[in-house]
Amino acid sequence: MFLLEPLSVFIISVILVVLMVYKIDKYFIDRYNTFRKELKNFESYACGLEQNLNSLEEENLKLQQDSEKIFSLYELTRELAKYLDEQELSKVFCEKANQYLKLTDCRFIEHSSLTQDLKDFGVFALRIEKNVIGYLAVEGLRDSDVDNFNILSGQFAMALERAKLYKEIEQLAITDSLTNIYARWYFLQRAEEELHRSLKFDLSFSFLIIDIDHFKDCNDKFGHLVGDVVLRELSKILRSSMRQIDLLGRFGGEEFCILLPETNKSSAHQAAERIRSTVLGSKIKAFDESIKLTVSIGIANFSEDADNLKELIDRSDWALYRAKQTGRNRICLYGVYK
Amino acid sequence: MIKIQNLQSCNLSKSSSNVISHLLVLVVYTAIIIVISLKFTYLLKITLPLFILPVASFFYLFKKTDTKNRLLFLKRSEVEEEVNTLNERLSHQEKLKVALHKKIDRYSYLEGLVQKLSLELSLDGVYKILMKAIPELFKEAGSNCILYLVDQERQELNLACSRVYEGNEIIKTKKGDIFDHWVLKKMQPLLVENVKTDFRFDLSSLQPEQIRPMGSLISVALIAQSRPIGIIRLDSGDIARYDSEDLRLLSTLSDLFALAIQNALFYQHAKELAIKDGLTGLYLRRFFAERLGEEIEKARLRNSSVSLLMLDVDNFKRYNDKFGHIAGDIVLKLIAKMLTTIIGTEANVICRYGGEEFMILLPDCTKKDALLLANNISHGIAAQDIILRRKKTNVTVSIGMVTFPADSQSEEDLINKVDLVMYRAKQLGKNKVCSY
Repeated sequence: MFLLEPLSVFIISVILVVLMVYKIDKYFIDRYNTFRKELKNFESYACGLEQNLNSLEEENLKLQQDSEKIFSLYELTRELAKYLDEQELSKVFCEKANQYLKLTDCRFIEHSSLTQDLKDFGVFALRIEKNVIGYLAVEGLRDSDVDNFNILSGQFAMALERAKLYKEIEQLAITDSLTNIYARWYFLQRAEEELHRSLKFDLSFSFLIIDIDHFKDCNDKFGHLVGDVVLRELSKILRSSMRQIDLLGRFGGEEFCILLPETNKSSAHQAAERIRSTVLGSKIKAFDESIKLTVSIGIANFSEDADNLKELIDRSDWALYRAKQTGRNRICLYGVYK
Repeated sequence: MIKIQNLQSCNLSKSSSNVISHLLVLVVYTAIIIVISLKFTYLLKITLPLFILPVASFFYLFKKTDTKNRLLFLKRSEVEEEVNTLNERLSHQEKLKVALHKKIDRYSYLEGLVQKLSLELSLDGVYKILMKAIPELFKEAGSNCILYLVDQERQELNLACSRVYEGNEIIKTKKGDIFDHWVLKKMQPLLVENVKTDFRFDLSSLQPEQIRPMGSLISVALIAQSRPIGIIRLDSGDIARYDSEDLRLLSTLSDLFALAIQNALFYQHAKELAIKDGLTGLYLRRFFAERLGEEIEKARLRNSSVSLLMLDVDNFKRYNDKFGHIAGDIVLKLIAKMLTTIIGTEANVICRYGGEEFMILLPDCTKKDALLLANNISHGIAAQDIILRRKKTNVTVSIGMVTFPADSQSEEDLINKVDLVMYRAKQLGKNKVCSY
C-alpha cells in the first residue's frame, strides 16, 4: 500500500501536525472572539437597560411633578379655611388660581346677569347642594387645565358657602355662639332702647367697656382653643358679678361691654371694681393650662358724659384707653381723669 | 436578574459549539496518528518529535491569548456589576412608578370627593362620605377610622363617628386617648409606627377600657380659623402600616373635611336660627304657620281636634318703661320657660308670635283640656314672682282660645278668631282666659 510507505506516513504525519497547529491557532482565536462577542452583547444589554432606566426615571419625574401639582391644588383649602369673608376669599382664590394655572384673569361674580359682558371669559357655576351660589369667570384657561380648575373651584365653592352661612348666622343670632352673651348688634339695639327710656324718665345709666389685658399674648402662647375658653369663662365671671337687669354684650374680639341701667358713676365704679377684683382673684382652667387674667375697664355715664349712644361708647372707649395706658388692671372713669 | 442569566447561557452555547468543533478535529487527527503509529512503531522515533510542535504551539498560543482573555473577563465582571446596579435601580424606579400611580389615583379620587362634599350640607351626610372615602383611599391598610369633634363648651373630644375594620375590636374611647389629645394640643399631624415603642407616649397611663390591639396609627386635626374643631384618626393592628405619604394624604383630607363639617354645623345652626327665636328659644311665626297647617290636615283625617292658645303679656309696655327693656327680656324668657315646663312636649308647638305675644298649638286637645291648660298657665304666671333689684314684681297674661273643628274650619279663620278672643280677654279686665 502506497499510504503505508514510511515516507508517506511521515508526510501524512507532517501534514497532520501542520493541520493541528493550524487548528489550535484557530481554536484560540475563536475562543477570544467569542469572549469578545459575549462581552459586546453584554455591554449592549447593559446599555439597553440604562436606556430603560433613564426613560423610566424621566417618566417618574414627570409623574412626580404632576402629582405634586395636583397635590398643591388641595393646599388651597387650608388657605381658604383661614377666612370667613367673601371678599377676602375670592381675592385669595383668584390669586392662587392665577399662580397655579397661569390664568390671565379670574373674577368672582355673584349673579349670572353680570357675566354677559365678559365675552372672552370661560364661566363656571359654583354649586352647593342644588343651588348655584355664584360664578367664576376666567380668562386664559388652557384646555388641559380645566380639570385642575374644577378641583380649585370646588374647594372655593365650599369656602364661599361657609362664609355665606357664617354671615347668615351673624345676622340672625342675637347671642355670640362662643360666649353665649349678646352679640354686638343686639346689644346696641337694646342699649338704644334703654337710652330712650332713660331720656323719657330722666334717668342715668353707666356704660362699661371691659378689655382683657394682654389677651393677644395669651392666644399666641396657648393657642386659639385656650383663648376661646378664656373668653367663655370670663363671660361667665362677668355674668355672675352683675345684676340680673344689667345688659352684657360682646363688643369685639376680647372686648365686653356692660350697660348698668339707673346707675350713677360711683355705683358703676363699685360694680367695675367688683368685676376687676373677681377676675384678678380667679384662675381660669383651660385644658391643661391654668391662666390668670386681669382686665382694664373704661366707664362713661349717660347723661353726664354724653347724650347719645355713639358718643357714650367713644367716651368709655377713651376711658379704657387711659386705663390701658396707665398700667392696665385698673378702672378709669371718663371725666375724672379728663 | 433572570434576564442576565438567560443572556449568558445563550451566548455560551453558541460560541462553544464553534470552539468544540476545533477540538473534535484535533482529537480525530490524534486518533489517526495513534492508529498509524501502532502499526509502524519504528516510525514513532521520527514522527513523535514532530508532535512537540502542536503541544508547544498550544502552550504558546494559550500564553499569548490568556492576558487578553483575562482583560476581557475583568471587563465583563465590571459590566456585570453595572448591570446589577442598573437592575436594582430599575426595580426601585418601577416600585416608585407604582407608588406614584397610586398617589395620582388617590388625588383624582379627592377631586370627586370635593364635588360630593360641596353637595352635602348635613352632618350625617358628611360622616357617610368620610367613612366611605377612608377605606377606598387606604385600601391595603385595613384601618379603623375614628372622627372626633371638639366640644367647645366642655373642652373635650366627642366621638362623632367611626368605622371598624372587619374583625377588629370595637372602639370604646368616646373621649379620645393620649394620642388624640397630643394632636389636639399640638395641632400637628401624628404618625406612630409602633405604638409600643414610641417614647413620646406612656402607654401605662391608658385606661384599661381604652386599650385596643393597636400597632400603628396616623392622626390629624381638623382646623378652621386656626382652631381645631376635630380629629381624624386611623389605626391598625399591624406595625408600620402607614408612611409619611399616607399622613400627607390624611392631612389634605382633613382640610377638606374641616371645611365640610364646619359648613354642615353652620348650616344646622342657621336653620335653627331661622325657625327659633334667639331670645326665648321658642319657634318663630313662620314655623308655627307651617305646623298649624300640618296639624289641621292630620286632625281632619283622624277626626280629632286641635286647640290654639294665644297669650299676651298684660301691660308689657308699662313694665318695660318702669324697669327697662332688659327686665322685659327677663319676663319674656321666664314666660317661655314656664310655658315649656307646663306644656312642653314633642307634639305641642310653642311659638313667640310677636313682641309680647305667644301662640301655642295643641294637637289632639279638646276644648275642655285646652281650657284647663290655659287656666294653669294663667295662674302659674300670675303667681310667679320676678325679682328685680330686690323688688318683687309680677306680670299677668290674657289668653284667648279656639278649637278646630268646633270653632272654625280654616287656618286663617282660626288665627283671626283666637286673636279676637284674646282681645276680648283684655277688654274684660286682663289676666283672663277667654274661649270662642
